[in-house]
Order: sequence, then structure tokens, then C-alpha cells
Amino acid sequence: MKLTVVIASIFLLSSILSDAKKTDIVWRKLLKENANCVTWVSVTAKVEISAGGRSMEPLEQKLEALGTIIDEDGLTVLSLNRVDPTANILSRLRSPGASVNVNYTEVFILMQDGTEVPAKFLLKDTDLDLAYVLPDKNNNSDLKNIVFSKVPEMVDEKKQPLILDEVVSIGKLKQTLYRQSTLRKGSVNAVIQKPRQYFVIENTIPGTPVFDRYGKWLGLVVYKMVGSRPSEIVTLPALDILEIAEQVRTRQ
Amino acid sequence: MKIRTYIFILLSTFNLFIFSSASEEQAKTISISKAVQQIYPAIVRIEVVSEQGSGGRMMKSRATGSGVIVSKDGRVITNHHVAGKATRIACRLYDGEEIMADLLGADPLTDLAVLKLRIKNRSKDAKILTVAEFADSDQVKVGDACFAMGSPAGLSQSVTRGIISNIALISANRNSLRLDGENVGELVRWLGHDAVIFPGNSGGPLINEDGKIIGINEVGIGSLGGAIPSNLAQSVSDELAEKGFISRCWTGLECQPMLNSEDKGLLVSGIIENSPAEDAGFIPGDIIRLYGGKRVSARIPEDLPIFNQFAYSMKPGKEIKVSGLRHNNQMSWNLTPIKRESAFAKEKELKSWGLTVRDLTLMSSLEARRSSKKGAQVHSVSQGGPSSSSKPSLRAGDIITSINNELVTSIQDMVRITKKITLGKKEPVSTLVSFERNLAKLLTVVKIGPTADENRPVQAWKAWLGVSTQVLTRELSQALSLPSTTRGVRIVQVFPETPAEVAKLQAGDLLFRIDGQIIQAYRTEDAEVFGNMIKEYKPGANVVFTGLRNGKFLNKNIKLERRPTPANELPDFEEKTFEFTVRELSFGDRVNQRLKNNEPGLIVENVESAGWASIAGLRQGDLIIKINDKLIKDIERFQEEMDSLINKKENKIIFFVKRGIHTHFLELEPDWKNSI
Repeated sequence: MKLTVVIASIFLLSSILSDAKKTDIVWRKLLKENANCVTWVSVTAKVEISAGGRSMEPLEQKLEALGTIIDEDGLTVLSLNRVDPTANILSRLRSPGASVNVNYTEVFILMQDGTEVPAKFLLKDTDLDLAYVLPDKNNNSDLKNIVFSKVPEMVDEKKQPLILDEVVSIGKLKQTLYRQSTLRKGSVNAVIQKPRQYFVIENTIPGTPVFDRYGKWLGLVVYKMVGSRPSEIVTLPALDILEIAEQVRTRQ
Repeated sequence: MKIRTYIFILLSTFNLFIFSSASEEQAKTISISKAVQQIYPAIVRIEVVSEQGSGGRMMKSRATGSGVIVSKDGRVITNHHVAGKATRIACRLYDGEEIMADLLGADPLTDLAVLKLRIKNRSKDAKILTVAEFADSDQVKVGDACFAMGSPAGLSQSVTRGIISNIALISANRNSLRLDGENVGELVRWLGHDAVIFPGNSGGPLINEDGKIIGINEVGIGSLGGAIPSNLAQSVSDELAEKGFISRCWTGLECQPMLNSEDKGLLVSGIIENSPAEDAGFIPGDIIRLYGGKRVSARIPEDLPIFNQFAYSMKPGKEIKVSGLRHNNQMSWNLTPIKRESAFAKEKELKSWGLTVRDLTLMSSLEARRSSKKGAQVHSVSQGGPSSSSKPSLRAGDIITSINNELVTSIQDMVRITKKITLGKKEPVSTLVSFERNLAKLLTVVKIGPTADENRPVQAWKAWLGVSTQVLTRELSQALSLPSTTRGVRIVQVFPETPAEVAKLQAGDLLFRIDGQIIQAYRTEDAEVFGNMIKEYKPGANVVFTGLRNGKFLNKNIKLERRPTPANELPDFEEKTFEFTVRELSFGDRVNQRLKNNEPGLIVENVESAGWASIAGLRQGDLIIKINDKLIKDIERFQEEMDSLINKKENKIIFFVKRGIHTHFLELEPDWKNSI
């Protein structure tokens, strides 16, 4: 009897370990093949603030944020709050008639080899904290030679992860750490179903993609917007991101 | 009896004393008020628009100060920190008359500036200007009564009274008051007084009981005011009016009071490298006793400005005989001063570089530890501009020495080379720049040229019903006699001309389901549930809403529309002459301001500080309804109207604006003379 329990335990443990090993292999392969679906994006934002009837001198801010390339033409999606300070400024102003206008004088997709691809910031979704950036064809004769590494296919709707399922997110370190690619492990802490689906996953950075154990794209890390202000960090399902991305095509 | 008589006499004497002192006081008050009244019309309230480099741009700012008329032809003395960098100066006289003025000259070292009123523009009936006279400030004594005059905090002309508290007031912290890199305390010993002054009093006169100027108010140190003595102010203002600048000399000799206050002379504390003082052979520790034939001494810091005034006034190029001691041995030196240049040159904006730059002066090149004045020094860099984006990026303090291998000796060269590179170019040009940073000689590539078009992203389209709602919380459901398990929302507002209004939804309607799906809202934190359920649909979708109205079943099939265009996607126009931006009315504007769909007007989106529109009082959020009595319906009409008025160079343009529930007429009075 004792022997049976021991053997069963050994079998169970080895099967768990082998599963974990398998997943690690999938994820390492994912990183090797798709590390560059995550990219740094640099924007120069001109911010005009008016409050209490008075306007301040416009300020220029240079911001860098991580984004995920979702199409082969370089269409990249970011967390809006990382490149648009409007919500943060308005929450600090607390003035009813305040207005913040943000225009962009420069947008670059920073490729791993150091190439800076001029781009346009085309669409934003303030409800879902999404910003869509597309390489600027008019301003870039070398664009046809640039290969954008698209994010892998998304998770099947019927195979959504459950609480405690392990997931990974691909990221990139800052310039000071040579923009080295990273893989962060996390687990699904919660699945929010209403008012829309969100996954709560720890150890993630806004703008980066999250993948399930099979290396399928689960979603993008964004801020959950509450009353037009960024609050918690959540993962928005990939389908929502692709649905809004359609507007980038139709409204160009 | 004796006692009573004694008391009476005492009282009588006391009464007599009171009567006599009261009448004396009365007479004095009358004479004081006469003196004050005499000079009061000479006080001027000054409103200036100044420009200063910051963040790679010339930034405008507005300020108010005071001044005093000192000549019949309209010369006004004020402080450099009030008007020294002004690009527009408006002076208001005591009777409310406004006269524009020009800057004749400014001197940061004494913080004085001289203006000239444009009296030719005055009407023929205008009153003759009242002119204030100078008194001899050397005769002022501690305890003398004085009056500070000016426009504190931008108010109309005001007078406060005090006494002279100190006749040699200097700043306790050396170098604490710097203007354009100059140490104001080097030359000025203020007249300290306790007449109340506030910011805005700056440049106003300090007068004596005779109504004559004894100083020009400049600083507040604690509760004491500090005024530049009239003798110094008069001599500086005369020279500024005549030449536009003050001619001074420079030796590179730096002195301090003697370490032992019993000793006579001035202690040489330092010598600037490559200066006339170094050439003359001075070394730190030398003691100067005779300078240009005059005995000089400084026991305390208050003595130094007197020596500096004398030393700086020497003629450049003319040898000065100096004698003193070195290690108790008699010494003599022949010192030939050179022309003193300002600490910093005025900065200039180079838009295509995203920089403000300065020419190097003798002092700024010495501070940068350079022997040459050749080059252009970066003053400030626009974050995100071409110079900031270059690698390595240019920084404040860097000295640009060549562009595309062409030597840069001054800003003029930089402008010339830039024009040559960018002429006819539609896109930025990569330009090789050599620059010095400390001892390093660096190279970078800056993409200069036309400013990039601004990119404004559009908002994602979302479906929209056109209502605002509140959650049916348990408490609310119970109060409305609904089951405690109720989930849903209550409509609190139906916006006009929306799908909700077309479907005749009403405030007070309760909604429980959308297309059969329960609206899962029962806590205040569920406020977004309803909106998000709507946003799940595509614009144009037909949706069934079910709920209750006045206890009766409610069922509505509504076609959702696209959310109204947000304000930042509406047509706008930046009016560059008057420096403000307007845009067409958004749905939100019309709802908030209760405006009908066909009501005309444009919303003021942005008003640049210190622009003509801002000076006239135009504010962000104002609704411009009419310009010179013409209704403004859209951006196109506005642009046409403004272009026509600018071409005609109208002296006055009247905007009729709505601000909240109030309306105002605003007078825009551009200074066409100074506009480019």
C-alpha cells in the first residue's frame, strides 16, 4: 500500500515537473521567435493645459513606452496612459473647465537594431487605455526593408485561462539595460467578466502582451480606466484590441 | 488751594502743549499732503509683456510695476526687473489715461530702466505731464520721513508712509540678487525704509517730505523696503536716456573688506585669469590704498559698493595708477581697464533647432573658461526638439563652434548657415554640429528644418445612447418599492438630439435589461456597467431596452448612434497675431452651456499668456459670439474676419463673448508698431 502511494506520488510529481518543463520550453521558444513583437515607442508630446480660463505655455514632453506589434505593417498598440498624460494631468488639476490638448510632433518605433521608424499616432481609446501607432509610409522610404515581428496568434475564445493558470508576458528593458528582451512569469489572479472581460495578472507592464501556457496571445496589459483615470493594471483580451484596431484601417 | 492751582496750571500747560503740537502736526500734515499731491500725478502704473528664453523658446510673461515721470518729454524711470526685457509697455497715468511706451535702455547692474512715453499719440486735450524732481540722496538721514509711491499688486497709484531706517542697506548674502547674471549689490546701497511696499511697487519713487525723489523702490528685505538712491538713479537714467546703455570698465580685480576692520585699504581677494588685473601684476592678498589718485578703503561690506561705483566709472583704455601694500612692502601698479560687457548677451530663439542661444560676452566666455568669445552658447533646449533628439543631444551651456564644417563665431553665423541649409527644404536636414562641452570637443547630428506637422490621434468610435444614468443600489431599489434583488440603472438625464431623445426615453425611467441581458449594476462601483454594455455594440446597432416607467413596463427598440465627435477632433484655428485658438462647438459644449444646435459661436480653446487676446481679457472657455458686431458661425468665417481686420490693422477690435451666464465686450488693442 505504502509503496503504491510512493510510486503514485513520484509519478504525479514527475508529471507536474515534466509539464512545467514543457511549458518553459514553449515560453523560451516564444521569446526566441517573438521577442521583437514588443518594441519601445518614443513620442514627443506637445501638451497645452488650460484651467480656470487661463492657458499655460505649451510644454514638450518626450516619453518612451512599450508597445506590442499586432500586424505585419508595424501597427503597434500601447497603453494610452504611457504616451498621453491627459488623464493624469486632469486628475491633478481638479478644475471643472480644465482642458488638456496633446498633439504629437514626433513618434518613432524603436527597433531592436537601433533603427528609428517614423510613425503616426492614429487612434486612441480612452475607455480601454489603448493607443495605436502605425509606421508613416510618407516619411520613410526604407520602410519596405523593415520587417516587423507580429505578435503570435491569439488564444481560442473557448480556451480562456482560468484562475491560477500560469502565463508569461514578453517585455523589453530600458535603454540603460540595452533594451534586452525579458520574459515575466505570472498567474491569473482573477477573471473579471463585467462590465467587460479583464484578466488580473501580476508582474506585468502596460503595453506588453501576455501569453498562455501554449504560447498563444491572451491580451495586452493596460490600465483599467475608472472615471477617466487610470487605476489598476489589467490584461485586456486580444479580441478587444483587434476589434478597435479595425478602425485604424477604416478611418485612415 | 495751592494743589488745585498747581493741577490747573499743569492741565492748562498740558492743554496748551497739546494745542500747540496739534496745530504743528496739522500744519505739517497739510504741507506733506501738498507735497504728496504735487508728485502723485507723476506716478505711473506700468504693465509689461516681457520675453525670456526657456525650454528652447522665447516665453512671454506679463507683469506690472511702477515708475515715475522725470521729464516733460515723457521719460519714465523704473526698474530693470520690471521693464528691462519688455516687448510691450503700457503705462497708465494717475487719471486713468493709458499711453504706450518704448524702452530707451536698461541696466541690470543697478536694476534701472528708462522708458519713453509715446506722447505724440496723446490727444490734443491731454493734460500736461507732471514731472517729479530729484532730491540729493546723500543728504538723506536715518529717521527722515519718506513716502513710497507706486502701484502695489497692480492696483492704481498708492502712497504709504514711513521713515528712513538705513542709508546703506545691502543684501546680507552676497550675490543673492542677480539680474541677467549681474550682481546688483555690487554697486547699489539701498535706502532702507519701513513704508509698506509690495510687489508692484518696484520702480516707483520714494519721496521726501518736500515731494522730491530720494530713491527708486526696488526690493523688500523682511519688513524693510530698499530704494536705489536718487543720485545713482539720476546719473544712470541720464546715461541710459542718452546712449541706451551704461559705459563701464572692467579690470578683473576682485576686492573685499579688510580682514582686520582697523586696517585701512581694500583687500584683493582674487584676480580673474587673463584680465587687466592679472596683466598689472596683482595677486590675492595685495592691499589697495590709493586707486586712480583717490584714497580707498573698505572696513565692512557696506563700503564696497562705493569703491565699485568709482572703479567701474573709470574710462576703458586709460591707465590707472594704483598703490598699496604687499606683505607690508609698498607697491604700485599700472592698471589699464577694458570696456565692461554685460554678463550675458540676450538670448535668441532658433525655431528650427529647438534652441535659445546666446552670443558669448567677455564675462560669459570667462565663466565658461574659454579664452575666445567665438561660438554660440546654448541657453535652453526644447525637450523633444531637434537639438534634444540629436545624439548626443545639445545641452544648456554647450558652445556651438561649427555647423557642417562652417565656423560659427556668433548667433548671426548660426542664423546665416541655418538659412543656407534649410532654404526651400520641406523636410528636416541632417546637419553636422561641432560643439564644446567643458574641455570635450564633441560632434552630433541635428535634423534642422521645417517644424514637423503635429499629429493628433482620433478617438475610437463607440456606440452611444445619449443618456446619463445612476445605479439602482439596494437602498434605492427598496426606496422605489422594487425588489432588493433588482439590477439596473435609472436614467437621470436625456441629452438632446440623441437616440435616447428620439426614442422618447425620459429622466426617471428604469432600465433593467439590454437585449435581454441583465444590466448587472447594483453597487455604486457598477456605474460603468451600463455604458460598457452599450459600447460593446457597433454604432448603428438596434438594441432593445426593457425596464419600468412610472411602475409600468417599458420596452424600447433604439438604434444606437456613433458617440459625438470629441472636442479635439473638431475644426480649430490658431490665430497667431492675437495668440489664441478657437474651435467649433462640441456636443458637450452645447449641452453644458445650454446652447441650441443652430446657436452661433466658437469656443476659445487656448489663450497664450501675454498675447493681445490675453491682455484684452479673453479666457479659455469663452464663447466668441461676435467680432466687431458680426456673428461668428464657424471657423471659416472667423478666419476670414480676423484676416481682414489684421490686414486693415484696426486699432481696436471688439469681441462679444459669453462666459457662463454673463456676456462681455472685450477690446483687443494690438500694438501694430511693434508687431512683426
